[in-house]
Amino acid sequence: MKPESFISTTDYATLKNDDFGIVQVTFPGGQFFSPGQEMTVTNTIDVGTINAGMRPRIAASRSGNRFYVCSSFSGRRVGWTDGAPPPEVTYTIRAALVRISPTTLEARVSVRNLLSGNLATQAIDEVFTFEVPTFLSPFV
Amino acid sequence: MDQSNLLVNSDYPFDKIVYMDSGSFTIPAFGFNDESIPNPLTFTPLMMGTWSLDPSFDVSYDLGTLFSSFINTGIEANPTDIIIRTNNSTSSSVTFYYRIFGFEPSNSNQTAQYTASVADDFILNTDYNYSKLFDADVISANTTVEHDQGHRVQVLVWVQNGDTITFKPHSDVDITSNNVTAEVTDSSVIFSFYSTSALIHYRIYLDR
Repeated sequence: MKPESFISTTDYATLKNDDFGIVQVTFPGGQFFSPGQEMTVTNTIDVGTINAGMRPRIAASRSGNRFYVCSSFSGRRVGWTDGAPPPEVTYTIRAALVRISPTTLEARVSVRNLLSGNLATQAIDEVFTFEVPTFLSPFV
Repeated sequence: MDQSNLLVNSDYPFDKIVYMDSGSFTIPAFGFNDESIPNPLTFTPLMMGTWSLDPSFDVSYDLGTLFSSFINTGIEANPTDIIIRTNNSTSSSVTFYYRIFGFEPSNSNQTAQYTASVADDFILNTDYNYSKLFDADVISANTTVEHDQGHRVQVLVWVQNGDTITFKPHSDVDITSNNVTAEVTDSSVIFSFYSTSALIHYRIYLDR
């Protein structure tokens, strides 16, 4: 019989829930980027025991505050580049969770101007919410 | 009752880890290493894991997540190999330590080798709250799974293209081709496909 035929079996290792935390990062609106310039906003959270993995969810206020199953997130936003009147362009905003110490995660939101000209973003701040359940693998 | 508060629930199965491995390899400076490990199973497992630059794993990272934009990783499996993909953007070679484990897909009916003897010391320990598997399936079209827990639940997602199954920790929410996403609400999990013939393997847990 396959392992999943059993509710519980002493023959197989399993996973254990560990901790849960929430952290938010606000990326300010109305930013101006020269070509190649990048801006990153961060916030940290202490969550989980040493060696814990995570099953995170990320929501962006300008993506409807919908929580996506992911530890890194990309979204397309509309801004403007050089010109009169300035034409609309699309840029990418990225959010990610990165571990910076045994029990501390850093939530990062960044925009990088990949255009050959300047980039101006919309005036509205964007809030990213990171929900971080952690778990213990069978190695712990 | 909030099911997350139960240590175990006999209405819902525990996760069963059917494969475990650990090891290390070197990634060259400004280079990559696709480390292939022979797949000993009679099916393609749903793989995930952690990695570290330190054999103690005191600071460890989930495979597939970003690390300061310097080392990118991924994990996938096919019928013959389990592959850890790494890319090192730093100017120094690094020793990459990994701990990986896998589940049997819901569309497999094979038996699997036992893993309990190589895991931690206890089969069941009341100091821990165990993951409670609500549903697992493989899908090919937009699907909404109702869980009705009143809180957002934990979900794991893999994407299958051909015979390769890749762990999917990244979500690109505005790409309208060759893309899949998984969204979680207080009552459901919504899987969406965008112009792709890929399959989604998912595992949904009751836990918050």
